[in-house]
Amino acid sequence: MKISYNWLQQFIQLTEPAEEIGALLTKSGLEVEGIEKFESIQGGLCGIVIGKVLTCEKHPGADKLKKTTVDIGNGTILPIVCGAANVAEGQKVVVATVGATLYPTEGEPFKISKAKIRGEVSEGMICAEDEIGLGKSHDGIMVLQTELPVGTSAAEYFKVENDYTFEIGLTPNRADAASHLGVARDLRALLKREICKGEEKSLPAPKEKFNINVSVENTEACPRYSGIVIKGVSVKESPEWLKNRLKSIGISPINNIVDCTNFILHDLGQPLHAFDLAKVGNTIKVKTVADGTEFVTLDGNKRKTDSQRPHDLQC
Amino acid sequence: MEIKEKLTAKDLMICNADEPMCIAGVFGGLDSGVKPETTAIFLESAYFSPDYVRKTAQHHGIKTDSSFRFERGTDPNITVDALNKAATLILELAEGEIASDLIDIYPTPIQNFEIETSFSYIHKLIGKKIPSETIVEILSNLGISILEEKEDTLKVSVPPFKVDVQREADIVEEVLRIYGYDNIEINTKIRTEYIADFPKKDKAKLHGKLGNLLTGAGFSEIVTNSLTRESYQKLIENGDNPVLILNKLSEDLGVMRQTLLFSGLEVIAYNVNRRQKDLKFYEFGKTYFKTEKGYTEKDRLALFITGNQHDESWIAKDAPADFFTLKNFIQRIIEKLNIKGLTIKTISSSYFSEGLEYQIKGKTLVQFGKVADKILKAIDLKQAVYSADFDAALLLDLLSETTVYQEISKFPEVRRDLSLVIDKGVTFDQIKQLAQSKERKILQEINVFDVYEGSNLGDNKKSYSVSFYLQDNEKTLTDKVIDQTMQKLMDSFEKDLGAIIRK
Repeated sequence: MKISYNWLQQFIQLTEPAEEIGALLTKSGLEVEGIEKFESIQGGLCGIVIGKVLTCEKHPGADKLKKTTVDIGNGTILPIVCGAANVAEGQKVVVATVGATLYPTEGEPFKISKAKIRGEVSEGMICAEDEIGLGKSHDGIMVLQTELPVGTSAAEYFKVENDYTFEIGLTPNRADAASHLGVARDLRALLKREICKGEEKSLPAPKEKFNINVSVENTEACPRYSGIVIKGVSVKESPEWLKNRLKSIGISPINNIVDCTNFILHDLGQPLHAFDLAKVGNTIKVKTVADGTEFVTLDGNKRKTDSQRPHDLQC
Repeated sequence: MEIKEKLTAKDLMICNADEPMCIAGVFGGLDSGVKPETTAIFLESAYFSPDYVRKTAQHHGIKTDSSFRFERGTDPNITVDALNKAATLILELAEGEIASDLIDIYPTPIQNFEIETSFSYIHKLIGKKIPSETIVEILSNLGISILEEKEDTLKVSVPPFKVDVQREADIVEEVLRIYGYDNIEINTKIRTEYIADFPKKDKAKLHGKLGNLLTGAGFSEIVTNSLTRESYQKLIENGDNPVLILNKLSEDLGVMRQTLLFSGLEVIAYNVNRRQKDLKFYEFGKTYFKTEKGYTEKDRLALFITGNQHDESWIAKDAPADFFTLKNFIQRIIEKLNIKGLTIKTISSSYFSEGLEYQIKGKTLVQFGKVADKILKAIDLKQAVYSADFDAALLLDLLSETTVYQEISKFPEVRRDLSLVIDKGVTFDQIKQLAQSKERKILQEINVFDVYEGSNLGDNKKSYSVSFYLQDNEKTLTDKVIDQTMQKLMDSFEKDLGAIIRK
């Protein structure tokens, strides 16, 4: 089971480094088998800053290259030779400084070093989207529309999430700790620090009431059944923060609805399932059916990765 | 990819008016989930019984993040909170609006679990007095509420999400794991002792020593099943009361073996049937018997030889392995372990059609011989097999950890030969024993180099040509001493064995 350090912070304030928390959890019976650093962008955009193109002129020795000077803050002005067609004076751009390692979307990582390109000194690189692993676009360099001052780290601009993930070997008796809330409860006792569950927002009252009839026939198998109808939703991609949360514990984001149910599962430990109301109709019955009834499902192995069938991860 | 699952009457399903949509707590159906074109959803948050979910997930062989949690037990009291949080999040991320009241079917709320314990019990089990305030603080922080705290007694209420906290001892565990196992000092009075005796000799050493010897001599090691067919036991003496397997998987695995013979022969038959006819095997294994008190195991070493002594070759004729081939290997084992003082007996046993037994101090060390035809027939083997059955526990007893070195004599060795005509009943071993008892000092070795039987000797007679090797470690032997010694031996052969010395 994977638990994210930043996610835990939503429940309990942690000032201790991840290693210390890991050791504490192990001692109390939640064995931490490993701690991994999670970066939402590989390399964490280390050594990459926002810069402003001060001058831009044609390279004396090459037709397709340009010779620029770029201000990267603190009075540092770098000469950079750039091959992109769209570079121009006054742009705010992403600059990889000497010593930074870039992790391009495709291909091997490489390190930026001081170079002479066709006789002109170049101390850095103005980056395109794919060169720093942000996307697949190579349509020239990225031009930023930002008020942030030069010298601001790109990690800040692109909101890189740096996190630590604990791999916990959960023993079968510790079902109560199979969520971030559960682990935070143990930390509350260990650190004697309060848990904050966030403010309880009461749901808005329904404007129109959809007629749905829910019944539980086998209360032994299903002691409690709760549910609610939500209409007018639009299924789309989740925002970055939610995608990063899920990615940090090794779950591929699917769409906003499924991601929400997955998020709550790992947040509170309560599995949820979102049914398409069109399929449900007006009736939900929780019951056992006759022996041998056929039921079509997705292949158990495929379900986790098949993003075409977003409901498949959850029930 | 879709697959069809056949449901059982134990699978709890979430159904619409007509058909099942989802197997509760395990996995969703093909069309009931959220699709890109979905505009309205029913969001479910339930507490399913761990037993049902476990059985269903196991039956269909599927484990999901949901079933993983449901089968271990989720918190029945969080379903509504979770639903609220999820719905709020969905409204925020996917727009939409709430279109029903919050449905909550919870006919019999699951109660907190009450446990009564005492501080003295907690102290006793932990082995250290932890202040009662600390205990109360730890339990409260874990979500376990204190119902009553009176002098020594402590009554607590455990919420259902703590599925593993059911007994008094579990409360102690909760306290201890948070207090920290490392914070319990070890009492200086605590000490440990080994309860079991370490075996004086290491079985692995015997196995290694003899395994190396036998493997080096062209044997292959086999390891066979201790479970065997009951019908085999009927072929051997005392085989009528084997250790039976109560829940045997098949007739072939019905009893615990009382000998390594049958399983070894099965291996031979398997190989012979695949055109591997020249085989040498050994196995270190156990045999199993009932005793008056219960059961006992014995360590055995079995050897098997069949087919030719060596592979086909241009330089040597094919020589079928025989009794003496096997005896040679047994002799090597005995020499390797430097075992002295064996007595040899011929045996009649249901295992062997002819065979010998070596004893040491009245205990049987090994029985070996030609495997009886009746047994070979039962295994469906048509070629002769020679087998030995060692008492491996006795071998281990005899295994010496030390090796004694001796200087080789500087003085020459002398050989004298004798031809003895003796009764057929007299064995070479008797001749050897007698000679060794008469001459202990300079007689080093005796060997038979020719055997003759014929009508000219008389019906009940045979002739042995025996060589004697004499050597003194301290001086060169003189003719006089040699002649005296040989005379002494000849006299005793004539007198004690009725031998006629042919000159």
